[in-house]
Amino acid sequence: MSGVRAIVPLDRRDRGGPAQPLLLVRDLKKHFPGNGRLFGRAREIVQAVDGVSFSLAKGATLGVVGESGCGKSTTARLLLHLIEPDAGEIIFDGDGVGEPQGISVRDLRLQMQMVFQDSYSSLNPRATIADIIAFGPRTVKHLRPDRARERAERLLDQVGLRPSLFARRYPHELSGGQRQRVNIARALALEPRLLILDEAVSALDKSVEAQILNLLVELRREWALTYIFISHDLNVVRHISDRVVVMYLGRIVEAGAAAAIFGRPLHPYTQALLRAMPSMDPDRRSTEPPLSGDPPNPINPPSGCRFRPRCAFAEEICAHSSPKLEASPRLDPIGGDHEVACHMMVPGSGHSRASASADGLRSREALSALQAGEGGARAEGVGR
Amino acid sequence: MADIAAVQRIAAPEVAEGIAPRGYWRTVAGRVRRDRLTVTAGAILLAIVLLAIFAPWAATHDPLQGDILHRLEPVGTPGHLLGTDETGRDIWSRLVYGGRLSLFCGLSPVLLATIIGGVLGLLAGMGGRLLNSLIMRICDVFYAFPSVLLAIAICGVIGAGIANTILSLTVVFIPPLVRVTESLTRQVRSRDFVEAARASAAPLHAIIRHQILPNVLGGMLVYATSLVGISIILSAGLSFLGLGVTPPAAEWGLMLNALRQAIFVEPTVAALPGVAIVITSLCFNLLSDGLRSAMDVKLPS
Amino acid sequence: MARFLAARLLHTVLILFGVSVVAFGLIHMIPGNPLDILLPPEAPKSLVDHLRAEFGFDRPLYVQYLAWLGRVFRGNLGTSIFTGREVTRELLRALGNTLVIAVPAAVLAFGLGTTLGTVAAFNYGKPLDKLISVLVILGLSVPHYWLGIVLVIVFAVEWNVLPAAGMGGSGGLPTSWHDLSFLVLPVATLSMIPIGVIGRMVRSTVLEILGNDFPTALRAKGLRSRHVVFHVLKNAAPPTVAVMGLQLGYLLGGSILVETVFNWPGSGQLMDLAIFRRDVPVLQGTVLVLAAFFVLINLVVDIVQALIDPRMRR
Repeated sequence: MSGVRAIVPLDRRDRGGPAQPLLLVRDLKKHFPGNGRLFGRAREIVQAVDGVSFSLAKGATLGVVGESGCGKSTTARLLLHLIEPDAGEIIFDGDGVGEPQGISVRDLRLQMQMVFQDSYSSLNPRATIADIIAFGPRTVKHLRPDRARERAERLLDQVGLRPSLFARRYPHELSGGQRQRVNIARALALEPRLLILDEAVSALDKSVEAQILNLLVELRREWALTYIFISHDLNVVRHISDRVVVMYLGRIVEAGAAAAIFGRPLHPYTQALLRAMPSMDPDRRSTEPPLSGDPPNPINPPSGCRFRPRCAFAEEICAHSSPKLEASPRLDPIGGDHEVACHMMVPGSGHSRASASADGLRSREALSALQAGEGGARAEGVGR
Repeated sequence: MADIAAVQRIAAPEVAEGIAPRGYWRTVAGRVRRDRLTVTAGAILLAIVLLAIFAPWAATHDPLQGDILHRLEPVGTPGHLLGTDETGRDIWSRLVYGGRLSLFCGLSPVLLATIIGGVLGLLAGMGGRLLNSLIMRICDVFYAFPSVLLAIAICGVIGAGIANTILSLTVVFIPPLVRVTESLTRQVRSRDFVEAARASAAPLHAIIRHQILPNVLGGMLVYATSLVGISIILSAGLSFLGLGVTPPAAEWGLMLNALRQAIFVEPTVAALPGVAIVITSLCFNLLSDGLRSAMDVKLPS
Repeated sequence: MARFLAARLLHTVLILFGVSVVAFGLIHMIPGNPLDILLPPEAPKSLVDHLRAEFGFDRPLYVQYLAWLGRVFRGNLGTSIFTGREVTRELLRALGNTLVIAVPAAVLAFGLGTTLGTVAAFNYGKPLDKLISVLVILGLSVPHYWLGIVLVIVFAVEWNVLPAAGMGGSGGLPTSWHDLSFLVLPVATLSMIPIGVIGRMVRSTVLEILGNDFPTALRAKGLRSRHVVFHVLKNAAPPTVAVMGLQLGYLLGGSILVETVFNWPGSGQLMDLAIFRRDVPVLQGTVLVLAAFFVLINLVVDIVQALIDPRMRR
């Protein structure tokens, strides 16, 4: 699955051609003022998203992982301009979003949609399922009510819900998995090219989660969709993603092909996350917690590298300068474009573990640290 | 995780056939129907309204003409079932005709205030911080007056009469309705499905009409019906003070005032108009309470 | 906490200004020339001129407002057109009389309402609860002025144990049983609606708290029922205090109807007379003072609520 990308038939709305990334995000930033606001400047600033950049090819699936508070949901909303970014660019199929020569936010939303996490309030309790799905086509594309209704029923069918049974029902009569299918149908109603799935399966039971994931995989193929899959569940992300970015406190700390991230994680945080995944094998128990220190507080983050309070390898240089996300010069790429934001990986950065040569000596040390740990991911098969 | 791939894509387990979909209002109506107290209150209210509407047929005498020789006859006098008032007019007929004015003066302000207050509250809830602050602060100023004080002050200043009564009571009821609507709107606005609607690039008016409004109306309705009881009491109170309906019209509050001197002579008769107010107000309050409990529990029950 | 206080104070000051504008604006809501309204047509020119000078009707509106506001800050609420006496003095006297019945009514309402609500909540579903609920809702549906009349009928006319109206000779705080007997009916009448409101509120709040887990946890720890009740009430206090404050304001401002029934010379009756005599300064002054009182009571209530409910402090 890694490295091989299906040939994606071009959408009739395509503008940039197959080589143009569908989504290019550069240095996206969003800060929220905190609570100390009475007279003048904000006392506290929540740096929710602080310089996020990535590119997403057409037909690919990007997984975004991180713990709560790392900014992944905020990033999703920034992409759709549900929240206004403070800085940065979003370029959709070659057109800048919100720029005079580019694409308007409204037109962007016709091509980029979001599937929300299932919650009690993700569907309008006063509307029928068919109405909920038909709402977009009717009000945005001005379809006639009966046409919109037809489309809604077709979509219900595609997501596995029998229209004759479900179209006239209300959200409270559906189970969690069924509601999530409706969420998906609603997102597809406007025929988008890019789908952002924000914790789309997190609230579901495991068996239902599997069903929905398979549904998503099928739909991706049938509709030639591009996905951004946001989750804190690493197993799920690995199953569905081509590329993965790992976020911590508003920044991307590692990015690369799914196989590379899961098979050979370079950033200490990624390594810790993977070690934290519980394994099914009773022989491989962990006795120490993989991460030390307090969970991150997005208000007034630490200077320099934000992970340093919890990093076993932190040194003075880590407090002085923030490591940039850049391709590691030493690793033979498994899937190409493996980027890390860590001083240890940059020769000459000043970190004791960063080697001056391009040799993989230090990286092997990092690798062996991983092997000594629980690395459950590796046993389950990398590079299928 | 090989197991994910191994799971077939199964169509969703199906909802049992034959069960009709229950919309929200159908469910509410069903629960109200089962609540005997509310139904009884509603029935009594209906009877009162019908009596008021068909007053010319229900009354036995002319409400404005009285025989001074037969003033203050007690309850049970043949021909005058509920007695006569201080100028000899039949109490029953005056009560029935009075229902028209009392109900009208009680319901209209609430209706008007709901429309005006609802729109303002919706604007305040949907609008930006500036608009919200503007509307809510002005409401706060009017809220700063106890309702009775405000109603009496306005009426005292602009004069008596039905129109002025309705006007002053409407002014009194607008601020609480704005508050309730604004609070509801802001709650609904922050729910996920509204964000989903925004994400679909739908125009604002469509979002308000399909997503916001249906979820706000219920709460507004409950609150408005709870105000009707108060409105009836207040409007009667205004007439009681001489600030509302003017004599010789028949209206319950006015009758109460006029009959005050009669408490030493014929106390039961003097108290009757108040009984009418109590029954009507009570039924409205019970109806409102019943509606609220029917709407309160989270679905499905 | 200090931030909260500052914001609240600022808010209150703004509201008070708004209130003063409304109170001032009342007189200008009357159709017609204010002077004509205040004086009969045959009034002597000297009086007309005097009034015109005092009120400044020929000057622009905001100037009039500011002048009036200035006088108010110095404690001068004007002179009664009807009696010629100073409004401030009359109002203070009347207000005192109103407090004589309002305060006991508030205390009664708070005590009885809380008790009834708590008892009802702890006996949820049982006949006692239903009975109390009916009483409470009845209390809210009954026009209190009518209830006053009924009480007068029962106690003064039929049984003749209590006086029907008036304040008795004391002219202030009651000093004897005789004086006290004049208080009983007005206080009972005034307290009726607040008892209903507070009772209903306490009942629903306590029910909600009982629905939480911690009372069960407390009982499991071995606390006796009495103590559990105490803890529950402590949690129910904040919203109840808020409602109480509102009711107190209502009692002060809305006593006019009851005072009319019982011919009690309080601020309500003063206002009533002012309306019928077209005594605008008195009306303005009364409305302003009563509303200001209400606003201040709300402020105090908010502060008390913030003090006892740690969740509200930011």
